[in-house]
Amino acid sequence: MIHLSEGDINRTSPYTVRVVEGSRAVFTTDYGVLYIISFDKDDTSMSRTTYQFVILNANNRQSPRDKKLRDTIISIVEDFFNCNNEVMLYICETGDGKQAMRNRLFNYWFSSFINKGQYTLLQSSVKDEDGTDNFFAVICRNDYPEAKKVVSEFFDIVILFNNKPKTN
Amino acid sequence: MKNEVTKREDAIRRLNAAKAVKAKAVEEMKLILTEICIKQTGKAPTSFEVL
Repeated sequence: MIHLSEGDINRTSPYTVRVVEGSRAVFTTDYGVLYIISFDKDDTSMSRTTYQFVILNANNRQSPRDKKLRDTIISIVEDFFNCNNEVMLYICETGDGKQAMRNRLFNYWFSSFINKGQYTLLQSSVKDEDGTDNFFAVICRNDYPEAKKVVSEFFDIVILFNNKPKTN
Repeated sequence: MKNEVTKREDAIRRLNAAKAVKAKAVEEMKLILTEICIKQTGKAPTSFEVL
């Protein structure tokens, strides 16, 4: 069971964050947009337990290039890694075809975080059986005990998807 | 070759399973946001954006 520390998050977060149900964080931006971030246990995607980073907002409203939004997200993610030395998985939503845009947004949010040098970030995209591009990322602390195995498994999965075997 | 096909099928299965985990989380998160919105504004959200 993972947890988040509301007190620690709010020491660095520009927006006031409330932790609900132990592993979910809620905040409202200056634009009045209500966000929720969650880290949900996933025992099926990789050979080890990962935690899926999921983010959504109410009323489908955006906060374009809101630096405070980015910094709040980073505060929450940093706290996740401070409280839990686990593997985080992010899969861009594909339902509306805007996954490439979301991938760019993810890069914008996480570029400063990764530059701190304490984390390993792996990113790729794979086409599923419908031909849809699925952008995904895996992040773990550099001191995660099986970080090398995570990297190896990540690339194995990407290679499997991208080297489609011949069927003749 | 058969082994490669099986591995690829397993990778696709894992991707679909990951999407199912996310879908379940999203439904739970929508309920939380709805509850908060109603408390704050008296109205439920009209839509959600999943990122």
